[in-house]
Amino acid sequence: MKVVLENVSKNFGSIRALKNINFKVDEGEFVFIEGPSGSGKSTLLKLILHQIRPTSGIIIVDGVDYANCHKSKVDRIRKNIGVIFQNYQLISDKSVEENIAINLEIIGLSDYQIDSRIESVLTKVNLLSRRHLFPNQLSGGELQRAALARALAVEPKLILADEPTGNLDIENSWNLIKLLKQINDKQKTTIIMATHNLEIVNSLNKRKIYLKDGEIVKDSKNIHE
Amino acid sequence: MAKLLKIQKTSMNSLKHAWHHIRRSPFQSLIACLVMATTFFVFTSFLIISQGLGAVLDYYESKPEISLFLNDGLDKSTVESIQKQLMNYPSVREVKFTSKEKALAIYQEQNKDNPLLTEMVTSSILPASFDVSVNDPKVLETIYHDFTNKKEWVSDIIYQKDIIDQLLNWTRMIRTAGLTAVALLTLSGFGVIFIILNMKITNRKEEINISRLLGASKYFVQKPFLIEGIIYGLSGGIIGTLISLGLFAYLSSELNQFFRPVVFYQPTISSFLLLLSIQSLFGCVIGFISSWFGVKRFTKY
Repeated sequence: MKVVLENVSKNFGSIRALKNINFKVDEGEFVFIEGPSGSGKSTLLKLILHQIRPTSGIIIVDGVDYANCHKSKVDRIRKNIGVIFQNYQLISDKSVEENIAINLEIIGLSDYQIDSRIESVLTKVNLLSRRHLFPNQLSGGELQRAALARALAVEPKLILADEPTGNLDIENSWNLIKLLKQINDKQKTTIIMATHNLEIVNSLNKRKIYLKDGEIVKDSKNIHE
Repeated sequence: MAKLLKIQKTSMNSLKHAWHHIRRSPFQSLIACLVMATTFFVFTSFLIISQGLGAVLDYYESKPEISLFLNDGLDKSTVESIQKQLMNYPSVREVKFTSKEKALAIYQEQNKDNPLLTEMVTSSILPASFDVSVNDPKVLETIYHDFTNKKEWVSDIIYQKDIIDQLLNWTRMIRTAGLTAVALLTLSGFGVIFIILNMKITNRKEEINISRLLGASKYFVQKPFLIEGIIYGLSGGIIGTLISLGLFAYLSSELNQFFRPVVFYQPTISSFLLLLSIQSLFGCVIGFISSWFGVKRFTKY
């Protein structure tokens, strides 16, 4: 799934969260959005998900310009996006498997397909034994993996990951990154991951967009070009 | 076919989610059901009482509503003239003449088990009479006033004005009170479902937001709440109607005895099923409309 941002700015009142952002992410690309806290990484991902609207500029995802499309098209695009939210965003009164099932119901899978997907994805993130537990019964790392499982379950064309290693220990962080890399390599899933973990960013030879005070100060793609 | 299966599948999922919502807040759900059940209990009872009173009114309206007892010794032409005058009143349905002999025959028939009473009475004691039935009860009053002054012809007048008036007042009062109660209870049932669903939607704002971000359409998010409203309306409709029908079926023999010879309420399978179906449908409609208003207002996320 291709993502294009042209002259995108986002203001929150008098605060300019993002200023004149321009970049293009091609299908199958793995991109790190890095930068310190408050640099606008999460805002950028929220704009791509159409969770918030830009103050100005154009955002095109999968060939659809958010500004000029029907709401149902946004829903259709979102069904193909796997999101790992910074604060997990798991539904508190639903078990891990119910949280994943909701996502699969939204894309219209049958009960049989939902069951088999849940099992396969929970095995992948090593959380099968926790499938019946509720979010408040899970550790930080398990919550993060449950959120990842939900995102992966729909076999998305694009994964937006907002600080997915934020609450994980080193071992689990590397496991998660390996899994994302594997998905990117095998399924050609586009991945945009916001992080300030430089160790992870530097370990992979992937494109890096560096944000500071709401502006792109460095894009490794441009440097290579 | 595939589309049909998909609709069936999404409906089953919505039903599952609606049931999940109900189970997670059982007291709110119970209150919604109780209010709806009360509404439908009153509504069904009102319908049955109204229908029964209608039957009682019909009965009285179809009976001779004024009886004029004639003085003895009136000649045939005077009697015919009185009959003609009575017939000329508007909306008169029937003017029935009962001669002294016929009155005696009726009396004897009514008291055939008591020979002492029949032996002592002859036709000379019993007066001839006219029984007048009308379509418009107001005419009776005119007849009553006109013939009260004609002492040379009429010895006595029996006018069921009081009974009719009382019955009309009761019917009017019960219908007004019943309709008011039904309207108020429907409104409160509507309000209760609306408020409870709003509370539930507010409680599930997080879930709605997350589902929307995961690509759920507004309809996908709204459907379980709409189904929940329909469940409250339907269960309230069925429970309230069943209690009311059961109660009236139980009381029917006493009621029919009290209003004899009028059949106040006769429980039949067909009327039972018809009323239950109508009330259930009405419950679904109220549940759907109230939840639709609530959902529309609170799922703008």
